[in-house]
Amino acid sequence: MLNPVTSTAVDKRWVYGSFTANLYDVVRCAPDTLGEDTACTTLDLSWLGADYAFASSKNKIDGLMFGQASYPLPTVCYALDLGHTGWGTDPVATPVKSDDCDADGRYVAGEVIQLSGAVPNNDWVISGWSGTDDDAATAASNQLTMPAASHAAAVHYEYAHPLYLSPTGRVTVNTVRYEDEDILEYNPADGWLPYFDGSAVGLTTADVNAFYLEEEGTILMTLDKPLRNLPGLDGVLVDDSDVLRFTPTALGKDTDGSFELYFDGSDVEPTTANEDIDAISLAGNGDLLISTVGTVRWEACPQ
Amino acid sequence: MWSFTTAGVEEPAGDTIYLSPTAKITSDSVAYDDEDILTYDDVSGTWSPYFDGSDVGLKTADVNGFHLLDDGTILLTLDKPMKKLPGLETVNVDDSDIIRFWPTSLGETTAGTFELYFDGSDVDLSTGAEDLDAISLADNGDLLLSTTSNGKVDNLSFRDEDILRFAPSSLGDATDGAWELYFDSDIDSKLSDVVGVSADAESGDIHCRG
Repeated sequence: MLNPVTSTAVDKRWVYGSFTANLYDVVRCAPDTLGEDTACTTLDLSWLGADYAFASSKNKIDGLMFGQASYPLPTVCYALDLGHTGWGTDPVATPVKSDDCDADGRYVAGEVIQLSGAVPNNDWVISGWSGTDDDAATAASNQLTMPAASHAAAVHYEYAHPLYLSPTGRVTVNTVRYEDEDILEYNPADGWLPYFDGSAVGLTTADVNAFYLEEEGTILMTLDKPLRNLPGLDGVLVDDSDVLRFTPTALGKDTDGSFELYFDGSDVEPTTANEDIDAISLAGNGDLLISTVGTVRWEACPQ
Repeated sequence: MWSFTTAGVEEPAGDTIYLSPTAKITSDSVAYDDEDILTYDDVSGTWSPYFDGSDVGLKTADVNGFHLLDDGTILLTLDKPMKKLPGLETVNVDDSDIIRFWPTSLGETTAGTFELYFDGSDVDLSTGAEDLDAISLADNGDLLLSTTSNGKVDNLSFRDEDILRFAPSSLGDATDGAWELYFDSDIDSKLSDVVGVSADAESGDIHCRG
């Protein structure tokens, strides 16, 4: 192998002129020249497996290195990826890296990193964070403690004036199909998204005639037909003149939660088919604003 | 039938040997596998585990070559492609690649993560014969490499007993640089494959297991 006078395999050994190297030995070349005209000033055995209890037909060297007596454990730096959802800027990290790391965006475990500079676009607001010490925060700054792994943190912006609607029939938007029992949400960044999936909570055969989103996250809604045994209303026949309150445990395509009866129409006279409610809203003082599919005369209503 | 002379045999001054075996071996009742790296303690006269490959996903691989960096990280090349290594969960590591291990602990309980250090396919190491089986790092950061069989990079033909020098301009998943023949065994074509190489930074000597 290394510029020998002769080299012949003998019993799986290699003979280099005056010595033989076994497959568990190491040969040293002190090079005189390298490259295409390689030549060794000296060529000898630099390490013998037999001297180190490493000499048998099974003990062969696959890789080797003459190194230091010991090595330190390295300073391990992990990557921090910063981003955002919605419309606005990425947060900025301070410091830009740990002192012991070479590149920006890399930190040692335990480094406390300040995040700032999260600025939403016009009509957008910060709805929360992820990967930080306080993900529920809605401020423009936050902080995180770097874990012992690559990590991602993001600020989440939401549109300040989202539009919600429920269609009268089946519609398909960007290959996603929506039914009349669903509520859709629109924002300029994401387009239309599923907000409430009625079929996931027993409304497959109904049409959500109207709804109102309450600040606490519950949803008032009224249906186009009577339905029985909705989640949370076992044994109750809900009428199309009633208003339900839905308390979600999940929304979107995996909607889940339960209903309660919020407004019983039959208690306050709406009892005929014309008195099916098809529009609702809630006034600031808690009064209900409603409209019906047909003409009605309620004695309680102003003439 | 054969003979060797021990008069010229000497270890590099103050150096400690680290090696990886070709197959499972047992030393002082301790079993080592081909994915492990052992080190020899001159005081006790025993081998001990330095890197336990099976602890970090290399149980089915053979460490073909390695180099210990001064910062404590380890460069490794494997005998076969591997997927889902710690830190490289989405990367298919090839036998022509070099990965860098960042240990958080070593020895019997090895732990840490890998990163891609040298992507062989980026710089013309693409055939089955161009499986790396010996690696070392020169002082200036150049890589010294040898392969399991004969190959060709950038119109430079080489054999498995040669050592190539790669001067990187970039490393990682966008590896680029220049090749040259570093150690040419052209004098005798019957020479054996170089399967381990260690360049002595102070003396310039080259230690090989061939």
